[in-house]
Amino acid sequence: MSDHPAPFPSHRIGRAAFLGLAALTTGALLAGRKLPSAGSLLGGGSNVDGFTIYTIANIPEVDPASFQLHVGGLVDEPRTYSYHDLLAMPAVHETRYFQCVTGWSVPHPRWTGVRLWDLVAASRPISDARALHVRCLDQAYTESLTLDQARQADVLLAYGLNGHPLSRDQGFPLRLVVPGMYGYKFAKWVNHVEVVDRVMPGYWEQNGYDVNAYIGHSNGV
Amino acid sequence: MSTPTLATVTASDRRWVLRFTRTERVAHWLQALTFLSLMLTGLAISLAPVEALIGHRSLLREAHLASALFFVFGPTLVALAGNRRAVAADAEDVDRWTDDDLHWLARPQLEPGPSTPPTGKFNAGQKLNAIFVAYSTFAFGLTGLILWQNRRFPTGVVSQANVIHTDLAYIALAVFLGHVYLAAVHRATRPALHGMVFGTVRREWAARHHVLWQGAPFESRLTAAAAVRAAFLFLVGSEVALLLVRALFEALGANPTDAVTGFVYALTALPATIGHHATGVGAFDLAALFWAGLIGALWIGLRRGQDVVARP
Repeated sequence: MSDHPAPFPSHRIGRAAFLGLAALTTGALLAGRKLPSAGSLLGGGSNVDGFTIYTIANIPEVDPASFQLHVGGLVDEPRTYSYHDLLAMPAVHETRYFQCVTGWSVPHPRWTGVRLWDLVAASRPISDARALHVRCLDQAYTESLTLDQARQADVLLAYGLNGHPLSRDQGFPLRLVVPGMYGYKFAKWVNHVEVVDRVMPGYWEQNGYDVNAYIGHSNGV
Repeated sequence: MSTPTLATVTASDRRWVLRFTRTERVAHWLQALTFLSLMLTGLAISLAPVEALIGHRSLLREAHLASALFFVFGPTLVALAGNRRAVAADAEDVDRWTDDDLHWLARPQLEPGPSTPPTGKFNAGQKLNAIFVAYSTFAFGLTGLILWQNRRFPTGVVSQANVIHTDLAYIALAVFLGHVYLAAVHRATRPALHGMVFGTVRREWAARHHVLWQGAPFESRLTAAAAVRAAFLFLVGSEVALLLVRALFEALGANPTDAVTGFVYALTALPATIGHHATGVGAFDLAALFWAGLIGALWIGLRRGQDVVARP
């Protein structure tokens, strides 16, 4: 304001400081196009194996001796697998860049598990089958995949990460792994795979996330 | 010519002097409350132990986004709808730093003594705080927008926005706690809280802590007409802000199935901007421009001669 000229010699610092900081921040954002992210000082949440842990309900405590995976719905032969049944199947490894919609990523997570399609195919989906509806032990999270997406050889139900069994907060005992899709497709604590005749949007998909979650090709949140 | 100051006030002076007008107080508390809401909802959706306890991630996320709109635009709109002169004077004060301010910063003294460099309405620490608040509002808003519309931006930029948003939140929390401590707990500085709640501080306290400050004249009673006009201007301004947000979303190609985005779209669905998806973005742009212009004209018309606070 010019009403009250400053009575003492002064430096115009405030606005310059604001603009400088704002420019620095914008520059740092644009640098993200070229440089890998430096990583947060403190992280946004608890950090496990480089993953930020998100949940929508309680983290279930699962006894592997009594755990059962159900594959059912529109199939000729519904099946149930114990944790040890799954461990006894041929193990598949998959390493692929993991990207969360909220911005963080894990460069080389190494998943170990079984091919999802091996399990689905073993139950013989009937001709009306179009999609999978995945449910979880937290009684809250759900996910969806079309049969074409689920048929890809790199889509797993994983029980291991980086050479160790999944930890509880990473989805023990079983986690859906869909390389190339955003992290919200990687449903944790999976215990039901249901074959259905149409895509049933999962938890985040009912909240505006894309049903088709391929990184870089899906529409906005 | 000597500048009138409070320097001659005696220690027994029990009178009050106006430090913050109604507009400054409303803007402050709007930003404070939305900050608190953003911090709580932000922590609740990003800290796993808290999230496991509370759940309701999508609800908290929507509360976070809705608070963010008011955090980013609210104080500016309050300033524009109320006493612009007072807010502009504060901004000017924060911009100008005397050598004494720099000396004060080198050796901050919360209880001024004879050797303390004299300060005006704001000391250097308060100026730094104001600069940080202005900067962090901008940076939170920008990085938050990128996180909100994350699929519209390159992965590296989103990653970077996430890091900045998170780290800034922790820094802001520390600054906020320090601010609350000085305002409500520390013996030397807590008399300032009265100024932010009721507007006034003791002349005696101001004379010691803000030697060079002249004090502001008492504000007039808030008339019903002025309050209604200010509230209406705030609503009109909010509509312009939401139209701008929506125009940005249109440019980004955002998906209105997101609850808060849907709400923004619903509030900005003025006649002739409805159904733009069928008619194309060009029609929306033209209609939005028309509405923004009309609302802007309405604002200027309503502001003429209006002053919520009496002039000196």
